[in-house]
Amino acid sequence: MPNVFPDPIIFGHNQFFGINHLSAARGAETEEYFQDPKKIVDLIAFAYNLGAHGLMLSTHEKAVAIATEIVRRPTLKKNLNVYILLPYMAKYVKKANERGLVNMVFELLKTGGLSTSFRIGLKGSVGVLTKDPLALLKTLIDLELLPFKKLNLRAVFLHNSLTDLTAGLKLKDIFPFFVDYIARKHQVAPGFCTLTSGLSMKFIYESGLEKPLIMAPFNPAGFQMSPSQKECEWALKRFPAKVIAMSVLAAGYSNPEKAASYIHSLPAIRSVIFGSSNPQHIEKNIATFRKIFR
Amino acid sequence: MKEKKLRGGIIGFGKMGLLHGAIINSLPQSQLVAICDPNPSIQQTFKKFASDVSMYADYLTMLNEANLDFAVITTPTFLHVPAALACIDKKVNFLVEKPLAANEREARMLLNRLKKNPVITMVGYMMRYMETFSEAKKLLDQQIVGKVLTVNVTIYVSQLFSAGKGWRYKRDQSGGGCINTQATHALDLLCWYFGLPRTVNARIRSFYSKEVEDFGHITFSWQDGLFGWLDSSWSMDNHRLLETRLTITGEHGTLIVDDDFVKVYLRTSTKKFPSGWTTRSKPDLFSGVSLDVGAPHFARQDQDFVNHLLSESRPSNDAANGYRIQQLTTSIYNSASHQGKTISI
Repeated sequence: MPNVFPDPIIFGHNQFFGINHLSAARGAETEEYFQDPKKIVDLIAFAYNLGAHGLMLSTHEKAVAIATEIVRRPTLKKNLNVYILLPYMAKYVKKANERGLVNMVFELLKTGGLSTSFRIGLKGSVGVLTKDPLALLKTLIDLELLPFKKLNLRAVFLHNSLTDLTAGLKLKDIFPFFVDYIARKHQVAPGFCTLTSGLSMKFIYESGLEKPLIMAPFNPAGFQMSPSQKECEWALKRFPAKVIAMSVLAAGYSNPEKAASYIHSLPAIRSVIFGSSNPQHIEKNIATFRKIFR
Repeated sequence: MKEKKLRGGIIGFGKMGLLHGAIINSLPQSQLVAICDPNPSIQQTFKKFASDVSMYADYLTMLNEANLDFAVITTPTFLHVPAALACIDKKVNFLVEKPLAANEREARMLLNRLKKNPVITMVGYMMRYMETFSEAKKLLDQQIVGKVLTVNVTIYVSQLFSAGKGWRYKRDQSGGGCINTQATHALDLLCWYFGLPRTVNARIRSFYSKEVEDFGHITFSWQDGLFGWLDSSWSMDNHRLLETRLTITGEHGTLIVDDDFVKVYLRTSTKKFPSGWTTRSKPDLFSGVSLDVGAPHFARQDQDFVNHLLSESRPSNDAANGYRIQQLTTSIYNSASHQGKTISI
């Protein structure tokens, strides 16, 4: 497995896609502002210059244009470490609502998802794939990753819904499969995003994966920390991992100093991710977190 | 000695089946032991990864063989009642996804059977378990804004912008469009907060769908003079997720609640609240759950259902409540098919 230590400060993507865990209305407004991928990448460059050398990108439809714009800018293309979160779940949930889960998978394979070039290589093999679930998963991963292959990829994270579903259902082979496939086929570090780190970190450990790359909420308010803040902190001590803390500011609810001092109290966390559309906030947050990771 | 866990089975293993299956398997007091789904790809896939869960092609066999304490029914709507009736026959408690049935006649049949052979039931009105909406219930029960005068509701999502495929868009299988599949959550909240309305007037509009409505507008009146409206659509731009907002005006002020916050505006201060705005947002109200998939309220609901099974008590969001929502929905469609005529419930 590529032994990756995540960048101490990773810039998040939610604000670009209208995602705001504190306010859907505010999320929609920010999305409106970021209609132009150039504006998005300007902000990414701004954060990069201040020390956020990592960028998280969900495989949202809009992320393809962001990737294209990053590739156009030589410094970012060469030096910005990109962390991919896949798949973009809201898209699939809506499609599953409309078509049903199984039909959705069929149609996705037939149309090639985010990539048009994929369609050509896949013709005729859809029927075979649906009989072999692991081959199907491999194809879906390839399909999601294809538009981002030109970026300087650092890690690929499994979306929290899938990590937590797998841990909840105790599906034994999925995590080792994901780790092996991402590392071997794509030559990138695999990681797991979770909103239930108290449970999922234990299951990842029981699946035989040592020192996994984890992204999970850690903040002084305990927001999005399940089953509880106490159990998440316990899992952090009990199961050795490389952990990126997300929701560190509890969706803008905690102030950066308070958040940073909480993160500092958890030695297993060596990296944070946060998103913001406000340059002043970005500057303040990066400066605050750089102090604790010095 | 370790207490025995309640044995749960899933009927219909699509998106919602996966979600409930994972949650009941993560709760301290229950475990997933069986799944049934007619689709062979789903059966094969699951068998490969979860060898200790029994897989069935039909629910009758599962109910006969799996020795279940409860089932979660996550089939398309028109199959809810046949599956629920089979559960009752086998004395298996059930949580059924919303809405209870594709029509009121089937819902009534189910309710009659339950009266003769009672089991513990719950209908998947999960918005009651969202922090903000449950907090609003507490505040309204404390009469925070005094006597409630009006209530306005919007419930929107950007989902459908071309003709949909599948059972959701066939009236006989889904029971209706954005009102019966999505606004039904808001109807449940209205009944939970204020009781069943006395009259409704409704208008619906289809544009993308042939058989079901894409837009609906309903006005309500209640016994005590309260009145209000609800506007619903699944074809509304700029709503990435389903978003619901209620604006409630009362004699002392206003309460606004949506997926993100509860805000109260009071004209004069009370013992518990200052005058002006008081806001409680999700991070204020958050509490962790056994498994956060989809959103934490799904796990809160499943936990509540399991608690009712353990205490052998009847939840307020049971099939009888689901039937009331079905009656309300029928009246709404009835009014809409008569150009908005006033229908008494």
